Amino acid sequence: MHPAVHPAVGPAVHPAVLTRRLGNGLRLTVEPDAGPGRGLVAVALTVAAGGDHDPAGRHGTAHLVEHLMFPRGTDADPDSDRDGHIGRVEGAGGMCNAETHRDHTVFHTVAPADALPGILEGEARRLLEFAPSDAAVRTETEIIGEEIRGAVGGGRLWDTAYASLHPGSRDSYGTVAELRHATAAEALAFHRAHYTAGAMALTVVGDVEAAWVAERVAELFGGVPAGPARKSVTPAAAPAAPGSIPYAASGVALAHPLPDAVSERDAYLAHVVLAELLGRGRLSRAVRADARYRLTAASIHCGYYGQWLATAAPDLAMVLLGRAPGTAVGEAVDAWREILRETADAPPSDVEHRRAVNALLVNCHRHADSLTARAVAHGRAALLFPAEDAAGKDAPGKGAPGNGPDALPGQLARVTPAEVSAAARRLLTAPYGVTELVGGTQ
Amino acid sequence: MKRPSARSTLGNGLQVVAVEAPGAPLAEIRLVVPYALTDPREAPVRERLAARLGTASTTRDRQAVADRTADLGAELSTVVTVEQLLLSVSVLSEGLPGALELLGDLLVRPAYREDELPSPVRRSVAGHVPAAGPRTVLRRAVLTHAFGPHPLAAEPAPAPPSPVTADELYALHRRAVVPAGSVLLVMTGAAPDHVLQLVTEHLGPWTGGPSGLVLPPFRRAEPTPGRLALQHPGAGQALLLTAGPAAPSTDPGHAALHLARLVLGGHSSSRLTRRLRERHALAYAVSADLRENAAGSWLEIECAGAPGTADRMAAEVGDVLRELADDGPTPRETERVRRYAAGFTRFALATRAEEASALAGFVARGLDVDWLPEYAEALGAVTHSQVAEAAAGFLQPARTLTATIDDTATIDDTATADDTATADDQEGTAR
Repeated sequence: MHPAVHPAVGPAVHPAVLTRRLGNGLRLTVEPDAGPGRGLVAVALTVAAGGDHDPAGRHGTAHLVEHLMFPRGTDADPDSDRDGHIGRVEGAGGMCNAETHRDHTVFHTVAPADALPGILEGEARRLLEFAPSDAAVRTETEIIGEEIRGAVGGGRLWDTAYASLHPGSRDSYGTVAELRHATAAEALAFHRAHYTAGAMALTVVGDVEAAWVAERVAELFGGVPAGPARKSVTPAAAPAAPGSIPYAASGVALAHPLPDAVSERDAYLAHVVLAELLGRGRLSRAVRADARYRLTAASIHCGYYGQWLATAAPDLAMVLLGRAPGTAVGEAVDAWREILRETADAPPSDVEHRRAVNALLVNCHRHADSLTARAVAHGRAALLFPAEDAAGKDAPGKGAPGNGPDALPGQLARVTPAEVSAAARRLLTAPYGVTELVGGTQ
Repeated sequence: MKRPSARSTLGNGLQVVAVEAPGAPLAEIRLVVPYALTDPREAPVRERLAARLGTASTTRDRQAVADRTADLGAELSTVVTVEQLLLSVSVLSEGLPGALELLGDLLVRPAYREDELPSPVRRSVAGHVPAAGPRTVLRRAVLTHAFGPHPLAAEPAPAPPSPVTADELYALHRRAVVPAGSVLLVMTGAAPDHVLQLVTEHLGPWTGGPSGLVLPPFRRAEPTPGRLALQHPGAGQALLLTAGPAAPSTDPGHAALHLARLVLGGHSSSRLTRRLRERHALAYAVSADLRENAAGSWLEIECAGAPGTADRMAAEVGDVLRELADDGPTPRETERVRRYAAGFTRFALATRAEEASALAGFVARGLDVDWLPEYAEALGAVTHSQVAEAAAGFLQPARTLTATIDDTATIDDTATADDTATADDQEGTAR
């Protein structure tokens, strides 16, 4: 009906990306993206250690170590010369934070570009001089307790759905009752085991000179102990019997496994397009058209916590179904499978497919416009999503990494309607988890 | 950073700003419409219009609008604040003309059909007002006690027995969604003059306004100080919220107050973070922000902790305020927050989407589109003694209302200030 715009799959023009591995195995990515007049730099340190690596009986150790990677100064005296890590970053005009995921932890900083020398020194210092005290462990444990209290106020829908697919799995926040027994020695042992050069990627994006960064990083981080990334135990999807949680409205949460984001990247992205396509109208139309009025609403969310390609750990798509009064859980699931079967049986039209891809492209470009997001995406690409043609290469190289942020638009545009249809068939045949949402109880 | 820009006011009164920002293959469009809730009885119609605006026109039904948006590679969203309606469009660059044409269609020829209204708007439980959560209860109490009765602090009106009608939506659209008094900002790689031509072509036919929908000023310019201690069984946590005096952003003393606020609680090395989070682990995060709208301006501290800790948090916050007011920040603290503020003015707007929203907000508040770089220069010129003066003047606990809400049965509802507030007779949101 309307002439479609050809999708802008081409990224903004960025100078060549420098990729390198230090002798100890640390992966370095530098993207000298000045951005017109920005004068900023973003640094991301990605470590292949997350909640899935927590020792038995110490749920939350990875999260605790993430907190301890921000050592304090002598904070009782505000005029002290001994700033903590955050104080030094903020004193240079920057800000920093970190996130602990299931399979990795990422520390990210953004600051004026002229602060980069100090930022890199700070990153190396907190890696090489990691020595928390028991008092710091106790304080951070209590702070994590407050963090959890605020974060889970709305319920544990995602973690419950994930556990319905992977019984026994736990979130990456931790359990304060277990962390209260943690010691500084345990945190140090975790750090030594997992924060090794081979398990890390350092990414610098912004108004920088790549050659200078590479030289300085080699000087500062060359002393990080070598060592490979330690694999966590990857649970295979093995759905448990349906469970239930209190929720605002009666419904069902279905947890569908996504393909492996590394070895089956094309199939993974086909699921992303499928979710967008369903969410763009097919679900709501199907709910309205259902002659049996089984559902009141339906939505699909791709990726753990709705973030796709944010982890290389087993990922999921969550489907939320609102149940009409009198509709049993099984009937709601049947209604969902009928919706899915429509796409499984016939690929979407080219127009519908292109519209879904277009919507994803806009989001990709907006996301890639953030220096911090670019730095994090490069770090994940280097450490978690190595492209097939680049995997294992340790030699210095130039050019955009195969799965970096600028590669994604092209990869999404290559997904075909037939692959989307295949993704729907895969969801229909693969095991999935079911959680009943008991309405009016939250 | 100052970007090339062009500014014009169309014949219909719409202020248009075109900002040139090469780089990402995107164009960002922001339309800011005055949309203050001046009468709580209008809240249901106001909310429904905001939810429906941009979804259909008389020439395109909902599906056609969604399809056209997708064909253009666009994403359209609407956000309502206490005083504005913000319509945002992100679109692949080549789709900009089409997006402006679509926007003009939706504004000039809106379609609100009653049969499209979802079930919630039919308000099956007439007269029912959903119970407010503890955060909302606390905010209503703070605003009412601090500044007196105001639309921001009013309870929502009970839902009338009849649903919102299409006629009500059309009437409010004609009155409120008008070009005069509104601001349209476009940020893209195209030349600003070309963008102005496109906007004139597609939004020139839009007419109406100004609506006059702006918040009335608070009854009191300065908050009434005191201590409110409320209970909310089942809250699951203790919450603290304060209202202290502040200066508006146009005031010459605002830059010094901004730096004093940063020392207090505006960043991770602040006094409040060191005291409440790092020393006592009372809260995961504690913030201090300068709030400002047409009603007034105030300094707000906010944090959440474990049940039963409200009084302790209030005491610690009071101590930190007192220390800063009495002794001022150290010279080193002033320099640190000055550098932090200089960096923040840059990286807070590091994406074009963030920058477009911020610049549109500046223009809508009557500021220049280049206000931020000029403000950054002002921050650099503030002296340490000026920051200390701002702290002494604005951070006094005796000038601050400190309110808490807790989840313990052991805490009495002891409002010690002038007009005792209770947890269920006030309303208001400031965000």
